[in-house]
Amino acid sequence: MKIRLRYFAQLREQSGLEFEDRDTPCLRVDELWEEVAQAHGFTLAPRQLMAAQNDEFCAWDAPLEPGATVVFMPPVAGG
Amino acid sequence: MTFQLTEAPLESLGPMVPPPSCGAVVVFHGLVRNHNEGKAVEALDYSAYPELALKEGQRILEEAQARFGLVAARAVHRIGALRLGERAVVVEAATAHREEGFEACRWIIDEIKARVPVWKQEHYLDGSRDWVACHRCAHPGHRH
Repeated sequence: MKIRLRYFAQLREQSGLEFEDRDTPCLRVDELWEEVAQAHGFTLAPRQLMAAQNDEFCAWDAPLEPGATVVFMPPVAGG
Repeated sequence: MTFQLTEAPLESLGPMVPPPSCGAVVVFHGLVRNHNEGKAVEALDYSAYPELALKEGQRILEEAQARFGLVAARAVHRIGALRLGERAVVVEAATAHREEGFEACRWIIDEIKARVPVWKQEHYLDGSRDWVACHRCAHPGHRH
């Protein structure tokens, strides 16, 4: 299915991308992480990340929705 | 009850005007400090995932309203390049009495720091840069 990913912070730095459109065979968010981590050589571990789908936090094992926007978020540091 | 992101300096943000039922407004200013974890900081960059930051920030204020009887609140987080001493975030909590105002203000900033998708990259005097992690991340068992 087609998925758009948006990258921020370390992931933006490591991929060199603000966003990416992928056609993925993955069915779950965690599987998608494995795919993009391998493709871009991301150094962050899943336990350090939060995930969002269509601008809302989602579970790590959430099913991917076709056409969704997925964001993997490095450790936040606001405030 | 609003959570906002802005690139404009927070020093020129006017005060929140509370409803007349409020006897207290407790204000927090988060500033860019000149050191972090033993390193001398020169400047920093804040960036955000705006759609989700605004939603989660709004939820935090609404949760504070329910927990502390907050009458009104405003939280504004600046993004972009900031220099030492500049305000990074302002939280204002307006309540009938000061007790819950202090509690709400503290709770709100603690939650913002743990939950809102904003990232900080520090620039150090030695020329290096580093991404900063949530402070709770250092504690065993804490995870997002």
